[in-house]
Amino acid sequence: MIMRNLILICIAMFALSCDTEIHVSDESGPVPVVYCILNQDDTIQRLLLSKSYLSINADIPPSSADSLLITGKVNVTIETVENSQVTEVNRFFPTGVSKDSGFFPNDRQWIYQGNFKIKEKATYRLIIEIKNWDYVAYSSFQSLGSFSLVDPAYPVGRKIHLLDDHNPLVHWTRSENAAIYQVGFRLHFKEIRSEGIMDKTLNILFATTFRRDDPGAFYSYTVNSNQFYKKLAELIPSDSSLLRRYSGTDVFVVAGSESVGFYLNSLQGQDPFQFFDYKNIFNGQGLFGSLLTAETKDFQFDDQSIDSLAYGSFTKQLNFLDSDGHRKN
Amino acid sequence: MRNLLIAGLAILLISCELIPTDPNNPDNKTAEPFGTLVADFPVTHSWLPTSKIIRTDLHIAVNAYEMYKGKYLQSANVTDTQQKYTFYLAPGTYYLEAAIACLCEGDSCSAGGFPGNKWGQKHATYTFTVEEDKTTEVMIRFLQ
Repeated sequence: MIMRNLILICIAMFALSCDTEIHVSDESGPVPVVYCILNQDDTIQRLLLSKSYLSINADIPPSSADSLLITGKVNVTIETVENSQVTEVNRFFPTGVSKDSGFFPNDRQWIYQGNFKIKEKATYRLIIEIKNWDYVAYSSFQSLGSFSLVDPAYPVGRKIHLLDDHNPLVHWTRSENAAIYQVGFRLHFKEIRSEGIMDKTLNILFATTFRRDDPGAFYSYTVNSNQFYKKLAELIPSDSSLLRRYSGTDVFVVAGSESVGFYLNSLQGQDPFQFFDYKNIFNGQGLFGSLLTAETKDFQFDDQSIDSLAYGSFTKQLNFLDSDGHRKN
Repeated sequence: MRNLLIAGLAILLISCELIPTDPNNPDNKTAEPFGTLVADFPVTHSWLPTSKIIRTDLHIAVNAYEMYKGKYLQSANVTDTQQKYTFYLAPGTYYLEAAIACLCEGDSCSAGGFPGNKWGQKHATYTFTVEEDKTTEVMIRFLQ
């Protein structure tokens, strides 16, 4: 009898002690989402700050006007660190920018802005202090070293030949602390309408290349001429009521810091069932890095390339004038 | 009538034997024969530093008139980092035009044999013949 009671008590204790809830979703609250790509070519620096939007037990709650906004006082600071010493402290201040309402009904978003020049090969430390949450998110990265465009060069003396018999080669030197590069052409042209002539500029960007190896003298990228004309046809709307005249081309290479490189690399060719975003923000989500551009301006295409722009199969509907300044239909 | 129908069907069946088309070559064009031209384009000069002389032009034209008008068949994107340039051309005789420019300041360019001062150019032209599956080499040299 005693034995039977003991067994019943033990079963009752086991049954009662198993009352432990397992929380499938994290209820620790939202975290800041930060995107700050410092522009080493400019003195105006910007940071986008919002907060994560959590589902509760896999249910997406209805969004409200402040779903993405962090309310209350937020201190955003970027420190420059050289030789383990903080040499410069820059505060960022909020400016609201409009946003399409979309899923989230808020039509404003907070961009924090600072005014300072980024030094080359220095450590930058980002500190975001959210007073209402009693919370700090932080990050750091190494800024890029200067680099230069090797080819094409001498725009006064050399024209760019953009046909597939000899595709243009772009050469550039290595930027210290960079992990990713993107080559681009900036096309200048005029749109001639009956009302007047308007100057236009268009950036045509080619594929990013993740490069951390030592290239020796320089990195190299071949611009596929057909891809260029195809991209151009996709970016410029055809309009039979106007004529276009090619004016010139700038060639540039944008270098991205290691964090930008890892982030973009993680997005490319990703298995959708193993989705993950690279981040380098501690206590938050997002990215802190920098970009630097090397460019040579005012190149001209040669006559054959201008004629291809005017009458080539990809771009003939764009109504560019040919190398003689004519348009034959 | 029945025989006519059978004959008609037979003709249709035989005529429906489609020739497979290559999606990359829908017109079934056969490849043209090609030869290779290698242009050796060193930068040398007797009286001026070669670091101040750059390649600016390298073009192929079908005849002298087209070359004069600047209507080239092919052109190379010349650079400081490459001395030899390759062109793939159908067999025939062509014209080659090459140019260099002087970047020296002051009157060094004209004193060194270039027309004008900075950005003054020297041109050289050659004729050459390309044969099928053979390589022709042109050595580009400028008057000093």
